[in-house]
Amino acid sequence: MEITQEQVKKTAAMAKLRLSDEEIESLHRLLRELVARSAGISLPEEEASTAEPGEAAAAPAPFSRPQPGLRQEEVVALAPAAERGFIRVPRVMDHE
Amino acid sequence: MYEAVIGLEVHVELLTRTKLFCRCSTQFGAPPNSQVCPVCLGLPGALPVLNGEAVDQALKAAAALNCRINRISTFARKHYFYPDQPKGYQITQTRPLAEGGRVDLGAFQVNIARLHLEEDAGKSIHTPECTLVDYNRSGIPLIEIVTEPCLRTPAQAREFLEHLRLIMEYAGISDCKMEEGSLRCDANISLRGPGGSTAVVEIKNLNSFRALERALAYEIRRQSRLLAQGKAVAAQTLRWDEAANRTVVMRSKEEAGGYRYLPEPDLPPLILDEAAIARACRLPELPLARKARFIGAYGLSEADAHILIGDRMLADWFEAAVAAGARPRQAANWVLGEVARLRKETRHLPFTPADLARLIDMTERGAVSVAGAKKVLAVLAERGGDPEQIVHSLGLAQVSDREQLAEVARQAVAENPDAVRDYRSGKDRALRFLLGKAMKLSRGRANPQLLRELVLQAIADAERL
Amino acid sequence: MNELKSLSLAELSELLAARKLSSVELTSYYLERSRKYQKDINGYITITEDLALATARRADELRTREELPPLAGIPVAVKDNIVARGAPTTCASRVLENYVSPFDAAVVEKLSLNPLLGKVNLDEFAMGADNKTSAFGPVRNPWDLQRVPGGSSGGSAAVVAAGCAPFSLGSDTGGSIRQPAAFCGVTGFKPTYGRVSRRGLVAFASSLDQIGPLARSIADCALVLQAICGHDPADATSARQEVPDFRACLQADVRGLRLGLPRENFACCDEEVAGAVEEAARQLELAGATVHWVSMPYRDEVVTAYLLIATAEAASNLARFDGVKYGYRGQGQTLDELYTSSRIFGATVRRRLMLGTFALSGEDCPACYEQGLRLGRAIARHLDSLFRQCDVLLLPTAPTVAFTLDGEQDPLASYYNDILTIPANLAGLPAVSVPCGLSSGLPVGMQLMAPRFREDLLLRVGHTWQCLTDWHQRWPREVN
Repeated sequence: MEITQEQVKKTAAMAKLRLSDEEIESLHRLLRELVARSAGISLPEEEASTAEPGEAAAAPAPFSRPQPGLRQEEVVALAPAAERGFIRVPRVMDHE
Repeated sequence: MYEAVIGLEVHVELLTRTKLFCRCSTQFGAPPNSQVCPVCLGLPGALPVLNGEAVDQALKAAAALNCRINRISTFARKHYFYPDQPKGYQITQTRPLAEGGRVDLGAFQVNIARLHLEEDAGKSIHTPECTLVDYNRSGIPLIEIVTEPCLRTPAQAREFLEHLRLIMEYAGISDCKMEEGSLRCDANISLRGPGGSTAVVEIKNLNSFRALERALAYEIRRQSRLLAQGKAVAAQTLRWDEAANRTVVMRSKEEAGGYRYLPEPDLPPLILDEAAIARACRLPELPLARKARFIGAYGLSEADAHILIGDRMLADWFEAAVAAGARPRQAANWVLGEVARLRKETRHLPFTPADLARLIDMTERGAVSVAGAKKVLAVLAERGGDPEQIVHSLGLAQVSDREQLAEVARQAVAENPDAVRDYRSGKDRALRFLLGKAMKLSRGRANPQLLRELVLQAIADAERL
Repeated sequence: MNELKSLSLAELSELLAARKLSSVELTSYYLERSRKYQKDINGYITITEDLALATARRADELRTREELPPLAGIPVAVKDNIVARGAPTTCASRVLENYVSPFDAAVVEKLSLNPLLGKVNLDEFAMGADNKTSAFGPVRNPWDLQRVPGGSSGGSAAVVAAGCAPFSLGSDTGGSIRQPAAFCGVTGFKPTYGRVSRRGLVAFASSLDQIGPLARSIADCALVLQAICGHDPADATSARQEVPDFRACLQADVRGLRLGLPRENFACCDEEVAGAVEEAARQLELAGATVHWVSMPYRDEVVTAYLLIATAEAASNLARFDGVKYGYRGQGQTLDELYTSSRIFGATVRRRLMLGTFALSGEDCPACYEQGLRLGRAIARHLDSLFRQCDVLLLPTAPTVAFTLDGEQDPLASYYNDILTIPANLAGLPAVSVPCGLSSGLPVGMQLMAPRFREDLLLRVGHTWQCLTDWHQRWPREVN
């Protein structure tokens, strides 16, 4: 499968990364190599049964009482920008 | 000419003490960011742990919808960047908890494709300058219920959603308040005609049952018009604009490239044992069964039964009042009438169905008039208390003593000879006048039916004299 | 006082218990050494002097009233991708430069009576094998300051090698404890996946990551493992297996044990490195073990599996660093600008995020995560089959000794340096690196691998080795 520069840029957009032109080029090479390598590997025989999870997972216990977590001040202290207890970001254009 | 093909994707917030993957409280209405922890805030190093209570609730929902429960189901990460999505991904399920369910609504059936667990995101508030995010809702357990595209009309879609809400309420799975967001619905619609099917259109931002019905009706009209003009219907995501009464194209939240699902490495597959599944199937009585029972066992009309089961609290009230001794028909009348009205004004009523039953009994005995009983009920709704005492303190005790009332009747007749003469000459209005006078003499406390009987008797007696 | 750094953890523990030495004295000693070598080695990102002395005082005070666990009062250095309150957890990244976690990692909770000397340096977000990608400068190998200490737990290894900390905690995703241990001539132990809680470890590749100790000996590692292993109900991947008495596993006896040497893993190494490890195997044979060659033919499969799995999981785990709730936030009018201006990772991290995002996008299979998992399972099955022929696998930890700080490596080619360590992560097996020689004056590491939950076998073979030899007791010339 041929990887185009467009795809590299699309991948960067998906990952929310700002790449330099140099990086886009070197990543273009890298991705092409990854695709080539992956294609070149023949998989050894898969085992017939996909085994049941090793540990018989115990039934998840119900959480009984709520436990206090972080206080509003703590959350606000971590945030780069906050207002009246909320975390503030630039106005988002899209609706839910 | 065209057949609408409609499917619904419903998100239901589960009633649990804590969130899906952490021990934060799920209480609604807390100050922003006061019910969060490293897990639901997505802090570095935090890990999710599955809350068994949410699993139990989800299983109940699956059973209530007659689904096939998968003994093994798996979690996955669904990635997208958005401020209210703290980890940059939502933990959902790929192999769902349940599939292949069915809801029978009598006139039609709805098939459920799948039901699975997932966590909710935080809430964003948009102001003109910025967006404010509150993560209290982040991590709240949801079930996503996806129907087959088997609905054919907007009315069907609405009826199904309303019934789904009822089931969830009855089974104690969710309080399903669309206005609080504990029940959310997106719709998919396409039109099918002799030439084939149109593309599927998704409609979001449906905030009420009415909006669902109207949005679908709008879309059917819009798409039919396009098809009539020979144009194609684009596969889009639309937003329902309640104010403008139309659908609007929405910019997609996620770029092409999809959600990059990753099997959740922090959570092992969910493996259910027989005991858990059996527990889930012990459901409380569901709405349709209860309705049938009201009609059969209590002799209620279909209309009354239908309204009662539409509100679980009223239905519970009704049954408790009957259990406390009230006759079913009477209980139904009072619950559907006065109690329902009072409850709209004050959510919490400080009196009990047993109180209501006593009051009803008093009206039947004639100890208080119906009008008087309504006044008593109003007082009970305000501050509770003992019905008999209130009747007494308000001076509403109805007099049903024959001798007492006979004396009053005689007096009214004696004091109003003109009215008596008018009545005798055929003017029925005069009787009402006399009854009014007699009632006044009794200071409004006379049992009306008995008084009428005695006034007529007194008139007859006077004639003989 | 020069002697303290040469004492074992058990000996230090005895001195503390007998009150012949106080935790404050011991901690001050290591704080001074940490400060002394910080400029040359750059092993620390943050030295937490006040915190350390406060804990030391508390330990000393408690000891007057009750018996404390064996490790209590002994200071520790913790890799800076393990969260602890009271000091930043940076992950060696500008993105978290000032981030202070409001909660402690499970291992930090378990070591609450161990004074925290500081948070040690690493490759940014634990991605790398040379500790050159840290935003706070590279770490230098105490054996030769012009060379790398290995990575990603470069700081963890270097501070133990230089006697700046008696033991440290690192993390291992593809060899990040073992390889720096080998390059720095110390003992580095990666437990079975699930033995140590990952709660509080800033996730890189969730299905591969494990926390483990670096120390001056297997015996020391055994003590630390005892303190940090155990089921954690708040980590759903935490194993329920009972934790054995690791100290009791320290027998100096390998009679009857079968050691398997994967021939391909020796063939790909420098001659001197392979030679030193083969020599070690011979000595163990003389001590009573049986030694034979086995085959581990997977090379490209190992690298590709790791590439696909680790980068995909990393891309997912690092999606939370968006500048919204914590960490660095850049300038942005739109949401997109906010994200791209806030995700200021270094080049190596960016590269891996791109590979991982691609692997997750499903644009191309077999260059996809699912294929990585399939390859990983195949490799794990093969290792299982090897363990039917032998009890412990013995091989070099890295194909070379520590390389120089300058000099670039082709990104994909560099993954082949991790061929020897990656399989243990793919299969979740316990593995340890112990010093076994010097090549041109630089340490060579020997790696031992065992089946899941068989740390006892590693402790047994490793301890025997360290009773027969003294490589683990050597100090770099530069350090004294």
